[in-house]
Amino acid sequence: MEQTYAIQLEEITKTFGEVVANDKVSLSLARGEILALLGENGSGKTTLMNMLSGIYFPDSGRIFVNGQEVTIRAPKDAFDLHIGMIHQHFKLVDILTAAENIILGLDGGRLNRRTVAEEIRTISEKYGFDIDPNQKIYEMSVSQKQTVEIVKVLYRGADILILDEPTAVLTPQETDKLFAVLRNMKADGKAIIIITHKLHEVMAISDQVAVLRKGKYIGTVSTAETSPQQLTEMMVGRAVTLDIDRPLVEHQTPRLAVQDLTCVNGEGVTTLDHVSFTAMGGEILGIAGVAGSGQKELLEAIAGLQKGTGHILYHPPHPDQPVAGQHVPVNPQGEELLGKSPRQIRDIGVSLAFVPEDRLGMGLVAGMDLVDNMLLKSYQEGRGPMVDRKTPRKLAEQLIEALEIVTPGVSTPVRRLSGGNVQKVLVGREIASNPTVLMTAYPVRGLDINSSYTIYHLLNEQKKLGVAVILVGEDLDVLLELCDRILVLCGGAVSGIVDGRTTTKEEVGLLMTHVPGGKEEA
Amino acid sequence: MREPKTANHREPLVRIAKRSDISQGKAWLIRAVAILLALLTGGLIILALGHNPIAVYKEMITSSLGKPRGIRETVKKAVPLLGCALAIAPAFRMKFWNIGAEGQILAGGIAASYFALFWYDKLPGPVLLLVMALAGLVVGGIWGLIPAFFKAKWGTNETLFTLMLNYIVLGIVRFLQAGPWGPGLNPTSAYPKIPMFDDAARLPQVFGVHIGWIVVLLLTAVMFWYLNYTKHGYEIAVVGESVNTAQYAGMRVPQIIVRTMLLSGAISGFVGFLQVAGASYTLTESTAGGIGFTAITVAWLAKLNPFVMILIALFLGVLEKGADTIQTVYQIPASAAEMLTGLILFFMLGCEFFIQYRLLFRRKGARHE
Amino acid sequence: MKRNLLALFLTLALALSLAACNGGTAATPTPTGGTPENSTAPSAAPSQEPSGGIAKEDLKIGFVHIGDESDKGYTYNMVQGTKEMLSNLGIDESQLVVKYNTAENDACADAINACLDAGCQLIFTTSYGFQSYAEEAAKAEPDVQFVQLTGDTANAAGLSNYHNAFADIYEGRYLAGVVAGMKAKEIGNPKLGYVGAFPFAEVISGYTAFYLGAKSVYPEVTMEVNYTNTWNDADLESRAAQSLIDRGAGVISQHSDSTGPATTAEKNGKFQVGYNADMTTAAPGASLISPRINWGPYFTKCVQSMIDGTAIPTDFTAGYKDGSVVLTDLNEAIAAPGTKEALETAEAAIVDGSLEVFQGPMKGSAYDSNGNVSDTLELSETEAFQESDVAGGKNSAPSFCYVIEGITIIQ
Repeated sequence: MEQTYAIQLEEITKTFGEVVANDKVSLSLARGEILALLGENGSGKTTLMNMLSGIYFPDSGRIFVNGQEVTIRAPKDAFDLHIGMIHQHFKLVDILTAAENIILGLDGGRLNRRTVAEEIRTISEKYGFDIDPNQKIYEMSVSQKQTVEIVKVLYRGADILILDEPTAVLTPQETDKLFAVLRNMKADGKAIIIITHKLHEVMAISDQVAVLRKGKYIGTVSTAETSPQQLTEMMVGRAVTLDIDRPLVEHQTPRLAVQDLTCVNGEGVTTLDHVSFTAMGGEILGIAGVAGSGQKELLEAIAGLQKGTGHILYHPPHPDQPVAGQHVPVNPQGEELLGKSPRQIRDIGVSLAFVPEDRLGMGLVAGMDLVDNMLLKSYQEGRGPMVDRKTPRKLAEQLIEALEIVTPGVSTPVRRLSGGNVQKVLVGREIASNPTVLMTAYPVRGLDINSSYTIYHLLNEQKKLGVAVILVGEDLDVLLELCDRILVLCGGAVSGIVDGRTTTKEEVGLLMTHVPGGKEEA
Repeated sequence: MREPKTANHREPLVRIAKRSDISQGKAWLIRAVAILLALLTGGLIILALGHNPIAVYKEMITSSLGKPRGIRETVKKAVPLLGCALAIAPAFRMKFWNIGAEGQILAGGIAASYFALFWYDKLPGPVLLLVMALAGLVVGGIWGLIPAFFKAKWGTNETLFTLMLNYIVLGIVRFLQAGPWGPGLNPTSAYPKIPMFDDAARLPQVFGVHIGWIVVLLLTAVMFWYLNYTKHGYEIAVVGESVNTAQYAGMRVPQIIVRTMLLSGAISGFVGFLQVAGASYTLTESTAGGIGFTAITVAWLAKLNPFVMILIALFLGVLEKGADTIQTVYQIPASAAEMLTGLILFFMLGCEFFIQYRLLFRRKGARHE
Repeated sequence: MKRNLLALFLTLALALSLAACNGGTAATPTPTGGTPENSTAPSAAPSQEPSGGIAKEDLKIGFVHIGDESDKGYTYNMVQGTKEMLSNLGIDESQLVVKYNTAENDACADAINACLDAGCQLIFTTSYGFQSYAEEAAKAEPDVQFVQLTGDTANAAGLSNYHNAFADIYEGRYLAGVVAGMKAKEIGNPKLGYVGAFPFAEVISGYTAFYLGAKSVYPEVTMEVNYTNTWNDADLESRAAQSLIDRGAGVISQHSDSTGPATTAEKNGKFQVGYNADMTTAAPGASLISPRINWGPYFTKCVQSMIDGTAIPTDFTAGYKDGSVVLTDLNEAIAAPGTKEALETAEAAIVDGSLEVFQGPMKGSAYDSNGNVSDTLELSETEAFQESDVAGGKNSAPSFCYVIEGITIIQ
C-alpha cells in the first residue's frame, strides 16, 4: 500500500532577484519520522521551510499535505493545515504569560484561563515539557521560551513541526532535553523537520537526512546508513577535512589584564559583574555563554565603547617580537584602557582589532564599497583635508586576492556581498591594521563551511604571530577544537576558565548555567 | 483530530518582490518616466481647465528660457534654490533633517540687512558687500548651530526644532519691519516696510543677474568635492549611514553633527544675503518665501548630488517662471505651478517604490483546482 | 566622477550660451538690467519723453492690483475706473494685462515683470506698498511708463517715466462726514469711530477730513480711531469696528477695503459711512454713504497721453469738482432729516472753492513709530492746510499726518 506522506514537495523553486534560493527541490516527509534538513549556511534551508509555513510563496512547484495538493499563501493557511514552525528568532510577546502567548491570535471568545492551562498541562505531560503557563516570557530562559513556542504550535493542533536551528541557543543539557521531547512527539505520530547544519545533532536525532547545497536538492539518506564524512561531502560537494588546527604557541606573554570589570547598563541591570581574567599573546581565548551573558558588553568595554568600573590593563608586546611591528611604545607598566574612547586608545598606540557581532550595522558601512570600508579606521591619516583612497584601495585588492573574496570589484557596496564575504572584508581589514589584540564575536555565524575555515585559519595565523585572540562563540564544538582556553560567562560573571584541550562539552555546558558558589540560572 | 481546512487554491493576482539590485541607468530611466507621467497628468488638468496643454507647456518653456528677460528671471529664481539645496545637502547626508533652512536664510538676511541699512555710508561698496556676506554666513551658521547643539547634547528631535525656529525668526523680521527698521527709519510714514538698499549694498550683476549665480555654481563644485573627497565628507557619510559604525570607528559624533549644521546654516545664511543684496534689495517677510522648503525637494530629487541639483533647481525655476506667465497669458491660476511641482514630487516618490520592488503577476494557466 | 564633470561643463556651457544670447550687451556689471523687451518703442537716441504716440490698437496696458473685484471696495473701484476708460477710448479688454492679488513684496516685482513680458507700454501699480518696486522697475525700463497710484516718491525721484497720482479724496471724506454728523446729531451720540488701516498720512488725512465734516454740522463730536495695520482683512476690520462700537460710537467710518465694518455696524444697530464703494447692499440698515475716487477720468487721461505721445504729469490730483471724487447715493431711508440739504450746501461750497476742508483753528501733533511727537501743527482761524497741493509743488499723496484735538487713537 502506498504510504501517504505527511509532506511532499515537488520541484519547488524560489528566486529573489537574481539569486535562486531553491532550485527544483523535491522532498518528502513521512509521519512518525524526524527528517533533518541539512546544508551549509546559505543553502536555502530556511527559505524552503518558509514556504511551507506561508511566509514566502513559491515561484513554481507543488506542495502536497497528506496527499492533497495545497496552496499556502499566508501563515494562516499553514495553521489550518496543521503545520507549525518554530523559528530561530522567537515570536513571543515578552510582557505576556506563556498561556497568553500560546492562545494569541486564536479565535474563540473569552479567555478561559483554567481551560487553557489545563490543555497546556496535558500537552506538557504528554511530551515531557516543563513550563508554567502563568510565567511571564521576560522571566524565562531561552530554552524555556523555545518550549513555549513548541507548545504554541502543538496547542493549535500541529501534526507537522518544523524547527529552525533549534539548538543554536541551547546548552548541551538543554539540547538533550529537547531531543527527548522530540522523540516523544515522533512516537506520537507527528512528523518533524529539523533544519540544522550541525552534523553530530543530525546523527543523534534524525531518521532521515535531506541535503541541500547552494539551493539544489542533493539527496536524502537514512541516518543509520551514513556518516558525517559522507554528509559533509554532500553538503560541500567535495571531501573536506573537518578538523580545525590548534597550534601550540610556546612563548605566551600577558597582553590584556582585566580586573574586576563591572558594567551597568542604562536600565540599571548589571551586565558584567567583577570580571577578571588575563588574555595572553599567542593564544585564542574563547568566551562561551548563553546569549546575553555579557559577552557583547565585555568586548565593547575593552574596545572603548562601554563605560564601567575596574581595570583593563594593556601590556605591550616586547619590541623584539614580530607582532610589535611599528607601534609607538606604550607605558611598560601597563596602559589603562577603561574610560578611554576608541580614538584615544588608538592615539596612545594600542592596536586593538574588533570584529563585532553586528557586521553591517557596526563593523562596516553597509552602503559603502570596499575601499571606503577599508578607510574606516585609517581615514584620518595623511595631512590636509582630503581623504587618501589609494592606500585603502590597494589593501582592498590585496584582501580580495588573499582571502578569495567574491565580489564584482572594489567599488561594490558591501551589502551586496554574501555573508561570508562580508565577514572576510571585516576580518581582513582588522587584521591588516597589525593588531596586538584581536577580538571577534560570533565570527562564523551564518558563514558557509569554506569561509568558516578561512576565518579559523586567519585566527590561527594571528595567534602564531603572538596576537592575543579573544573569540566569543556559540558553537561549543568549534570552541573546543579551536581555543586554548575557554572562559565561561554566566549572568555577567565569570563562572570558570577551563583548558580547551582537556575540558568537555558537559563541563562547559554546566558552567554556562551555574556560577559555582553563586547564583543559578534556570 | 481536527480536520484541516481547505486552503484557498488561487495564486495571488499581484505580488511584490524586492529587487536585489538595479543599475543606475535603469533607476534614472524610471525617474525620467515618472517626470514624464507627471507632466502628462499636469497636461490633463490643463486640458480640463480648457486650454491646450502643448501650447501651455510651450509658453512656459519659451517664457522662461526663450527670452533674455525670462532666462534672467529663471536663473534668479534658481540661484537661491540651488544655494539652499547645497546648504542642506551635508545635513541630509548625515540624516540630520534640517527643515530650518527657511529660517537660516532669514537669519542671514537680517544680519546682512543690518549692515546694508546702517553701514552703507561707512564702507566702500565691495567691502560692504563682503561684510554683509560674512554677517549672513555667521548668523545663519549660529541659527543652524542651535538645534545641532541640542541634538548632540540631549538627543532632541531636529525636525521639529529646526522647523519651529523658522517661525521665531519670521517673527523677528516682522518686528523689525513694523518697528525699528520700518517706520523707525522713515519717521514720517508709519508704513511697515524696510527701505530699499542703497546702491553700495547691492550686488553687481553679470549678464543681468546678480553675481550670486557665479558664486553658487562655484559652491556646487566645492560642495561636491567636500562631500566626496574630504575627511569631513567621509565622516558625514558614515554618521549618516550608521551612528553605531561611526562610534565604533572612533568618530566624535556630537562634534561632527554640530560642525556640519554650522556649515549648513552658514550657507543658508549666505543665500539670505544673496536674496537681500541681489534679488530684492530689501528685507521682507517673503525674503525666504518658501525657498528653504522647496530646496528640500531639490536636494532630495537630486539624491544629494550637487551637479544634478543644478538641473533640478533650473527645472523648478522654469516651472515657477512659466507658471507665472501662463497665469498672465492664459489666466490659469498661479497655484497650477505648485500643483505641477507637487505632482512631480508625488510621481518621483512613487517611482522609488518601483525602483525598490518588482511586480509579479499571476501567470496564465497557474495551478488551480 | 567623469559623468559629473561632464554635467557641470554642459550646464555651465548652457547657461553661458543662453546668457550670451541676451541682446548683445557687454558684461559690464551695472545695477540696471539688460535691454528692454519692448519692440514697439521708438529706437531713436534715448530722449527724455516718449516721442510719438502709439496707435490705440497696439496699446498694451498693465495693472497690478493688491486684491480683486470681490473686495467690493478698493480694487473693485479700480476695475470700474478701468472699464470706464476702456469704453471712453474704445479700447478692447484683451489689451489689458491684469495681475490680481499681488502681495506688497517681491511678488510685485514678479507681477511687473509679467506685464513687461507681455509687452505693456504703460503699467499702473495701484497700492501704496508697490511703490518701491514700481520705482525700481521705472529706473530699469526707461521706455515704459509707470504710474504708481497713491504713491509719494515721484516728485523726488525725478524720473521721466515714473508718475504718481491721487485724488482730493479729503473733499469726499468731508462731505461724507457731514452726513455722518447729521446722523450723529439725530441720534444724540457725539462719539464717532473710525477703522483705519495704517498710521500714516493717507489714512490720517482721510479721517481728519471726515471728522471736520461731521464737526461742521455737530460741533460736539469726538472720534476714536482703531488701526488694523492691514489694507484688507474683513475679520480684523469687523473686530476693530466692534470694539469702537463697544466703546460707545454711534456712527463709524473706515479706511479699509472690506465691508466688515458696515455689516458689524448693522448687526449692532449703529450707522456707518463706507469707502471706495457703495456698501448699502451689504448693510442697507446701516450704511449711509461712501466717498470714492473715480479713476475713470485719470485713467482715460493717461491712456490718451500714450496715444498722443504727450507726457503724463509727474504728479496729479483732481477733486470733487472734476468728478474724480464722487459720493455714492445717499441712503435716504436711514439718513437724518435735512442731510440732503446740508450735503448740497457743502458740495456747492467745495465746488466753488469757498470751503477749505483743513481750515483752522486747529492744533495737532504728528508721532513717530516710538510714539514720540515728531512735529506739531497749529493753525489760526485764518489759516488752512493745503492738502495734495500739486500745483504748489507738493505730492499728490496726502501729507496731513497730525492727530488733532478731538480725535483719539485707541490702538
